[in-house]
Amino acid sequence: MTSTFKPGHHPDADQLSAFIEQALPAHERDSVLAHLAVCVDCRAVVALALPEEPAALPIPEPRRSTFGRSWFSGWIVFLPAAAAVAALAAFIFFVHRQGPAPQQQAQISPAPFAVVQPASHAPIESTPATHAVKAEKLLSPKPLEEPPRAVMGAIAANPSAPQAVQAGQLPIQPPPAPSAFNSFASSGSAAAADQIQSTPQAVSQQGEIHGEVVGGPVSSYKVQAPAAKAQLGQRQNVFQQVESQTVQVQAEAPARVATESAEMSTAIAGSAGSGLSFTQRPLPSELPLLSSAARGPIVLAIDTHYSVFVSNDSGGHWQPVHAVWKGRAVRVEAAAPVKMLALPESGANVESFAALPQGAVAEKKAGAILTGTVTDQSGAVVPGATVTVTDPGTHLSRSVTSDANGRYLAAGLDPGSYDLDVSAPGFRTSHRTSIAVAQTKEIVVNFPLEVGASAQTVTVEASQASVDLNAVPPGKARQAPAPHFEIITDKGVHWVSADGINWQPK
Amino acid sequence: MDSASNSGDLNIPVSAGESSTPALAFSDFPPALLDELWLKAEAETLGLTQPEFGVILAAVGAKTNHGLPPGTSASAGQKAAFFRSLRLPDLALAHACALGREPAWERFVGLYRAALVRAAQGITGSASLGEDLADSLYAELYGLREVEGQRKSPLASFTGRGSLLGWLRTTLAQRYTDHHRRTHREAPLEDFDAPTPAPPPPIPVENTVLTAAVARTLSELDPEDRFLLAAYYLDRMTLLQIARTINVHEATISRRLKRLLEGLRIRLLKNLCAGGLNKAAALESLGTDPRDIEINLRALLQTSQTGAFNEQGTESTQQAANTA
Repeated sequence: MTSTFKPGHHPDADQLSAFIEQALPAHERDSVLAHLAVCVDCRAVVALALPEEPAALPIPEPRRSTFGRSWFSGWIVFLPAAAAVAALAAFIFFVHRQGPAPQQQAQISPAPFAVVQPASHAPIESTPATHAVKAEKLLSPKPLEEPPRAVMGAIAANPSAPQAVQAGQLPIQPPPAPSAFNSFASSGSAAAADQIQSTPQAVSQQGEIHGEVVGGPVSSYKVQAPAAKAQLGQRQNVFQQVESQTVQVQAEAPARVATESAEMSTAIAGSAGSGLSFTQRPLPSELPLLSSAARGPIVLAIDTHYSVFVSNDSGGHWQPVHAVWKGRAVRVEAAAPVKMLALPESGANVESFAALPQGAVAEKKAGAILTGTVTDQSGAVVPGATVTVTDPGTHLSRSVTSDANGRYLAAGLDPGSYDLDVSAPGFRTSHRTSIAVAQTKEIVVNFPLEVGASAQTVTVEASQASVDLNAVPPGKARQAPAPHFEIITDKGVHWVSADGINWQPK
Repeated sequence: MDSASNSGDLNIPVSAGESSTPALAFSDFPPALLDELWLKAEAETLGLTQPEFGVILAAVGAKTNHGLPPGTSASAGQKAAFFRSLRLPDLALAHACALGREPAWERFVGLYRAALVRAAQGITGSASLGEDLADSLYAELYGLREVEGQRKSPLASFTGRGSLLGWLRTTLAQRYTDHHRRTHREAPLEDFDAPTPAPPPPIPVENTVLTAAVARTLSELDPEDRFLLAAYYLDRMTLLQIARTINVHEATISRRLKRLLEGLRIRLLKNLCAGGLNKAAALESLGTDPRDIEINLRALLQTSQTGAFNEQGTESTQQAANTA
């Protein structure tokens, strides 16, 4: 049966099954097909012998197409594009929220602090014992939206901090990498570091303190900007120069030690109620800060939409400032020099100094400094000892607490004679009288405490004293000039104001 | 192995001494090829020896002319390619069962018994009928039927070009069709008592020309086109069924049917004109009411006068054996 079938002959089952499975050669297939065309029975057999259709698959639920038409699956191609558009929109929104941040902010983010070179390019001494990095306010690495007080408090609560600095009431924890600062300080071969000097005398001559970065349990570092009117470009150049020498420092010291310059200066000056509190409340525009400056309770701030606000209660309440200038206000500065205030009156005379290397804070303050170390009879340091400085003439007093190294420091003292009381739990109270203090001079008075009940008192009589005839009597404020704010527009025009409301071109 | 003695019971000449033609074919078989095919077919596990398997292959080659058209002799390479294209395990199993080898039957039952019942139930559309059909075929496959004192198993006609399961399904369909034809031929007796119908009226000349033109046109069609027309218009098969039969997409069947009808009209007009009608008359005859003409398209398309498939299978087996 390899040829055309004879009449009355059907292809056998082998041929039909091979035909169904397409396994017949062409000529035999044609024969079978020709027979099928005329044989209804064989067609019936073929129809019956067809393999069963595959089991009907469960009908899947129609996909709920996001785009409506399920028959077109090509929308999946547009998903990456949509994601890219969304990401771009988010980025634009973020940039818009941040505002066209000045170039300072771009440099702030990677650097924990910035170093400002004096405008006069005078070499800055750098001593390993005391270094403080004074950063320009705008170069402050800390985001201003973050409540500095809370951050500082959290940092101060860290028991691992060996030293603390008392800046007003804001102890600042040093960064946990003192070696980084040491490397910075020891980079004597570096040109920028060689130009850095930090002495109390030099600091005392500075007209303005822009910022501060304190770190390291052994020593802290400060790079200060002596001139308030240092140009931004110069600062940035120096910043970049020093930054190149302190990459390790910046990498290991995150942005937790920087503060607002004006705030810090105010805090250092002992002005109660001023300082960082203005960031406790957001600006009326609820936008991030672009620039701010504080002078006492008066705070000026610029948001990222270049709107200027002023607060007379350290940020408690804000009012917008009418822009009399042309262009955009991009920076505000407290341009007037910081004037030291005398010891506050009673009731505000308790000042808790946090850990600070010797002279670190004192450098920022005019007036005399009383410092020393509280030890026991074996020479071991006594931390937490309360040192009370009392002016016998006015009976005003202020108290400081020794740090973990037993060191205490009372700065900003007016020249005169003071009494010192040192008390610590488990030790007898030590009392020294008639310690003469002269202006811009550091008096070191060490206290070896004796073991005993705190009720017992050991009195030591001082032998000499330094007297500064230019000193202002305690309790009276020094004559401070009127607050002086300065706004710099994007066109470089400077506008000045004494109250932050009435502005005049400089 | 005692398979050689058992093989004498079947109609397939498996021993060299029974028929000279298969022996010659087997002797021409390259030993390496036979060994390769024998191993590939796992014939040893079915109780088939290499000579037995060689004879089977030779018979298959002779029956199918090694896949070549009639009158063409296959070369050694063509033969080898043909044998390698066969479903050798199925072929060995079918012929080992036809030879009555117990290992082969054990494997056959394990592999195809349940499938056979399912296929029969699918064909008949009834579980009981399907089981009956499967049982009857199973008995037939086992060789209970004897012809001239020899067991006859339809499995011996399996050539291995298709699958054994497909062969079983086709055989089931044939048996079911035979059963259906037998039962439908049993016409009620009262029909024979009916009066003889009146003779049909004479057919007009125009209709005679039209009938001849239609018959000629249909006869000129390709086999596949005739199959399409018959399957679609006479058997009322669906496009999907037709498509699965000739392994094309059903949309292809639809397009081909449309083209076929368009071509049929043109050819019919041409044949009408060739039959002596002018174009206007040809067009007019195309518009003739079908009720006014006596054209039995079924008769024109169905010219096959066939016997039962059951007998046909046996005949084809005998023809293959004789050819071999």
